[in-house]
Amino acid sequence: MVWKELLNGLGGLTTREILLDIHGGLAMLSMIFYGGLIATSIYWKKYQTLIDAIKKLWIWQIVVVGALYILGLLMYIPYRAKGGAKSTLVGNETTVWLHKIVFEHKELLALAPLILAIVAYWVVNKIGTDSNQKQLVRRISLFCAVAGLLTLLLVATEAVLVTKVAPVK
Amino acid sequence: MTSKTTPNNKTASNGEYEAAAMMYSASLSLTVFWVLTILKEAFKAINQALNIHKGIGPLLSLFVISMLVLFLAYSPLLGYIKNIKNKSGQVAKAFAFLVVATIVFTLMTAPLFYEPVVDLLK
Repeated sequence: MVWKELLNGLGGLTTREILLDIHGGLAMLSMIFYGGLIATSIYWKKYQTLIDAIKKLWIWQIVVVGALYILGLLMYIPYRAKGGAKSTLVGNETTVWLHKIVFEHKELLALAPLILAIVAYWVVNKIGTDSNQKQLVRRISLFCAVAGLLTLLLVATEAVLVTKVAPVK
Repeated sequence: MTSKTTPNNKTASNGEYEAAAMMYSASLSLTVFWVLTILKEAFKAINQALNIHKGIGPLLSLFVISMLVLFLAYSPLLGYIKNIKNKSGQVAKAFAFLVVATIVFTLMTAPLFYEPVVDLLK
């Protein structure tokens, strides 16, 4: 009975709702990758062979964060549409700041994780095995992972703050 | 990786130049993004020019331009780094540049920081 109810509920989701869920899922997946990247970048000093894992994780992170950004752009269409979440927020004096300050920042800031992931992969791939640069490469990879994670957390927090008041439908 | 001897006898590999060039490109890409954000907010004509997709709005153009800058600026920057006299520590310098550019980007994409600049330009 519960299974039937669940399947009926899932079957009733619109394509947009499914894409929104995937969008949220990708954000969480990228946070797991960031965790892996931070750990591997720290322990790379001790375990030399982690270089291959770091490279692979950065490639996956580019794919995930890239897909996350593109889906975010697509979900921006219903947000900005007439009668959409933006209209709801802008139409009320007490919630206009959520669009003007919070959501605008979220949309703009979201570019940083993608750029940082591309840079980190490139650097690790080009000079990751260079013994003279190893310490610096480790720092670059760690910086890109921590900065990417912090910006993503901020973006996610801002998204929750806004969509709690005006959900994207 | 091929190596070149720098004037101060320190060797720098092509990989180091390529890594540094990518970090400079990324810094430039992030900077172009927030500068264009300010310009689109300050000048209606720029906002309209960037509005290539009605649904998404200027954000799509900002993304496309920034990604183009990231990849198109790479080769000229690589050529520039290879030709400068002092080649030592290029990766460290480029990293410092990237850190600063990332912090500035984070601040300047916040309306709290860019709105006063927009008001000055208007």
